[in-house]
Amino acid sequence: MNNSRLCRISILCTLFGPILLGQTAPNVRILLPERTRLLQGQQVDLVLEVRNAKAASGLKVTAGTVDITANFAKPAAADLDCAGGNNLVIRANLQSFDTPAALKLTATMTADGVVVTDSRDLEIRPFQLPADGHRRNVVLFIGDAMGTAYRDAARLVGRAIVDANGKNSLREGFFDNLLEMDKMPVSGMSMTYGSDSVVPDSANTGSSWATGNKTFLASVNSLADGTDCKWRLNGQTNATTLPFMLDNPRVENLWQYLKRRFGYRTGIVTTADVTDATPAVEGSYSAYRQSRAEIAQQYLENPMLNKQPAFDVIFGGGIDQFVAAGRKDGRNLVQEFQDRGFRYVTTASDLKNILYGQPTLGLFRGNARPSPNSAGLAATDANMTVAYDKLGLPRPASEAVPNSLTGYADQPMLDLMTQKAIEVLSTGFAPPGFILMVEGASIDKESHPNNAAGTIWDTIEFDKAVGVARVWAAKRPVKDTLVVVTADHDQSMSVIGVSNIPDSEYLDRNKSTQLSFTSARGDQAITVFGDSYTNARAGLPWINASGNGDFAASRVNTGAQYSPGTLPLTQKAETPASDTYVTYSGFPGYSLDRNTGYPTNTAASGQMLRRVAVGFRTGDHTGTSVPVTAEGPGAFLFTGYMDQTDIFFKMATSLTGDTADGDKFVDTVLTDSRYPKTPGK
Amino acid sequence: MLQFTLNESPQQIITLLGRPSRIDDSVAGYQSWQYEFSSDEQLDDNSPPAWFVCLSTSRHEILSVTRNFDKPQNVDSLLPDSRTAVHYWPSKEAAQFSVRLRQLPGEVLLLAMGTAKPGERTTQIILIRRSALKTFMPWLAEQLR
Repeated sequence: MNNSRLCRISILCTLFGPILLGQTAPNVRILLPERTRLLQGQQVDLVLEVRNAKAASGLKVTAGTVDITANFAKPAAADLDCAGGNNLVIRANLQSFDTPAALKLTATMTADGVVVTDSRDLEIRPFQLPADGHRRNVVLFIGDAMGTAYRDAARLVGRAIVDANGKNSLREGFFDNLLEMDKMPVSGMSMTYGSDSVVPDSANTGSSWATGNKTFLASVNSLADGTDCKWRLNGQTNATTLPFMLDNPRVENLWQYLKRRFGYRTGIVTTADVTDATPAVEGSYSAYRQSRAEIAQQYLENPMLNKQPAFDVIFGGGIDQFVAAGRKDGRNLVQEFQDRGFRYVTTASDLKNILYGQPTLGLFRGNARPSPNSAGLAATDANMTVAYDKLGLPRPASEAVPNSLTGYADQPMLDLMTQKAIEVLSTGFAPPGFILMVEGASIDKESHPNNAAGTIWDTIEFDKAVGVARVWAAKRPVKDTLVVVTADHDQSMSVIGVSNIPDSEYLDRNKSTQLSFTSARGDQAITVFGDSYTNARAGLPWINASGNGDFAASRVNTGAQYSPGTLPLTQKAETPASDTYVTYSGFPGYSLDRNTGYPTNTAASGQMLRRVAVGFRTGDHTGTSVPVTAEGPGAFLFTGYMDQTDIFFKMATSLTGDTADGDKFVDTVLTDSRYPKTPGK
Repeated sequence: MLQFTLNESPQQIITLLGRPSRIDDSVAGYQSWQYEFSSDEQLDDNSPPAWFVCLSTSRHEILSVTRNFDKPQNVDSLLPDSRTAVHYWPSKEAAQFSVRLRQLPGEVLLLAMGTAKPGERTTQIILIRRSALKTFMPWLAEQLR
C-alpha cells in the first residue's frame, strides 16, 4: 500500500498532466513540482523524462543564467508510464542552487529531430547560520494524526483530575493547568494536502515538513516519476520493483542538509518502528514507505551524506529491520552501527543510564522471530507498546487486550526517550547544534481501529514529552531552541460529550449485543460493548452519546435509548440520577496515579468516573487542517494558516538567527500584564 | 481469487468485490481500483490495500488482480505442485526473489509472490494476463518466452 484507505477518487497527478491519450510527439518534462522551493545549497535530483523519442541531442539546461548541462548524464532508455514506446531519462543527481533567487530552470534538446523544452520557476531561499556563531536547535514534535480533537480529548482526560477532596482541576469550563502544548505562546494551522490527494498519509506529509516540497501518497522525500506505474497500479511491491521505488527524484531533507553543510547533530525519536514513515522522512529517500530494509540501510549509509550515518540518535521500536534474521541481505545493522561508534541500548534501564554524547541507537521492541516478509522489502513492524498498555491500564471492553510484553517489558516512555535524545545531541564543549524529531506514533495507530483509550493516553504521553523539551529549552542561558508541535494529518475523532457509564459496563468483555445492517458493501456486523457510550465508533451508526433522545421524530437517531438492539445495563448510575449513562452536561473527572503521573481509567473507590465521550466517523485519515504550536526563537513564524511545507522553511529561518524582531514581539505579549492571559496557561 | 477470469466487466467486478475504496487514475490508459481490508484483518497506515484491480482503459480489460494478506498465508491449494513452476529474479543462479507460477486457461497466470516451495507463505498473490507481463514483470515475460 500504503495509500490511505480513502473513500474518494484521487486527484489527477499533475506530473502526468501533459501526457494525454493519443499524444505521440516528443516532449520533455522536468520532474519538479510546479511550486518548487529549496534552500540555497539544498540537494535535489534533477531528472528529465523525454517521451516518444529514441534519441536526444543538443541538451542544454540552464538555471537562470548558469549553464548546468555538463552535470547531466547521457540519456538512458526507459520504460515510462507502462505505455511501451521509446522514452529517455536524463539525470543530474544531487544538484543544488547556491544563490538565493527566483530562478528559472530550463531544459531544451532535440528529441528525434524535434526541439523540445520545459521549464520550472524555482524559489531558492537564503540560508546562513547566525553571524555570531551561536547555533540554534530545533525540536519538532509530531503527534501522528493529532488533529484538534485529539488534543482536546487529551486535555479533557489529562487535565480533568479529581483530587482527594473531590475538587476537579476542570471547573466551570476552565482548566487549572492546560497541556504542555497548550501553553506554547504561538499557534497556527497547517494544511496537509499531498501532491496527489486531499487526504494524505504520514509519508507524504512528513516529506512536506522535512523537505519543503509536496509529494504523493506513501512517498518518502521522493517525487513522482514515470516508472511508478510499475508498482503503484497493481500493488506489486517487492524486491523486483524496488529499483523503481529508488529511481525517483530525491529532495534532501533538513536533517541531512544541516548535518552535511554545517555538522549539525540529528535525531529521531518515535514510539513506532524507527523505519516507519514519520521517522523515515528525516533519514531516507524512497518512493515507497514500506521499503523498510532499504530505509534502515540508509540510516546507516545515507545517500546525501556520502554513505555516512544519517543520525546521531535513533530511538524507537523496530529491531527486526536491523538484525540479520530480519533482512533478506542478512546484514547485521546493529553491529554495523556499533562498528561506527554507536552505543546500542534496548531497555528503559539502559537508556536511563546513558550519560554522554556518544551517538546512540536505541531499539526497544522487536518480534519474537524476525524474518523478512515474502516481498523481500521489510521485516514485520515492531512498534513500541502504546502508553496505555505500558501503564498496565485495563482496556475498555471493545478494545483489544494487548499482547504480552514478554521480552520487552522494560520499554521507555516517550518523555524519557526525549530527555535522553536531547542530552545526547546537546552535550559537548561546543555543541554544533541539533535538530530532533519526536513522534507520538500510536495516536494514529490506535485511532485507526477507533481505540479511544489507546489514542488518548498516547496523546497524554506525547504531551509529557513536549514538557520535557520545553523545560530543557527554558533553562538554556540563551534562548536558542525552537520547539514546534504539530500533526502530520488528522483522523476523524470528535469530542461528543461526557459519559458516566460505570466501570462494570465499561470493562465487561462478556457483555455485548450484536447489530447488523446492510450497506452498499453488503451486510455489516457490529458488536456493541458497554464502552460504546464513551466511544461511538465509526461502525456504530446510531449510537450518539451526546443526544438525550428528547428530539423531534426527524432526529430519532440520537441518544442511547434509540440505539438498536438491547444492551441491558446492570447498574444504575449513582450520580446524576439517570439510567441512560449518557450526559452532555457536566465535565469528565479522572483520578491521577501519582506513581506514574498519568490518569487512571477506572473509578476511585466509592466514586463514579465520568469519562469524556468521543466518536469516530471513519477508521482513516482525514484532510482537515491540523494545529501547529511553537515556542522559542522564530516561533512567531508559526501563526495563521500555513501550508505544511512552510514548516520546513520556518524551521530553517529560525536557525538563521534572523528572528529578533518577532521574538521580541512574542516575549512582550507574553510578559506584559496589559494583555489578557488564558487561565491555566 | 480464482473466481476471476480477468474478463469481467467493471460491473462484474463490483458484484464480486463491491465498490472500490479508491480509484487511482493518475496514469494515462490505466485505472487501479483498490479495496480496503475487511474489519477482521489488521490494518493501519502500513497495510497495503487488500485488493488491487488493474484495468487498461484503452483496451477495456482487466490486466491483473492482486490480493494482499495482512498475515502470510499458505496458498498451496491454489498452486498444486504438479501444475506449478518456480521462477527467480533476476536469475536462478543469483536469486534475490522468487515466484511460484501456475498457468490458468485463457493465458492467465497465478503468481504466489516471494515463494519458491510448497509450504512457504506469502502476503501477496497476483492473477495476471500473460500479455501484461511485459509491462509489469518483463523479467518473467523473458523467462517464459
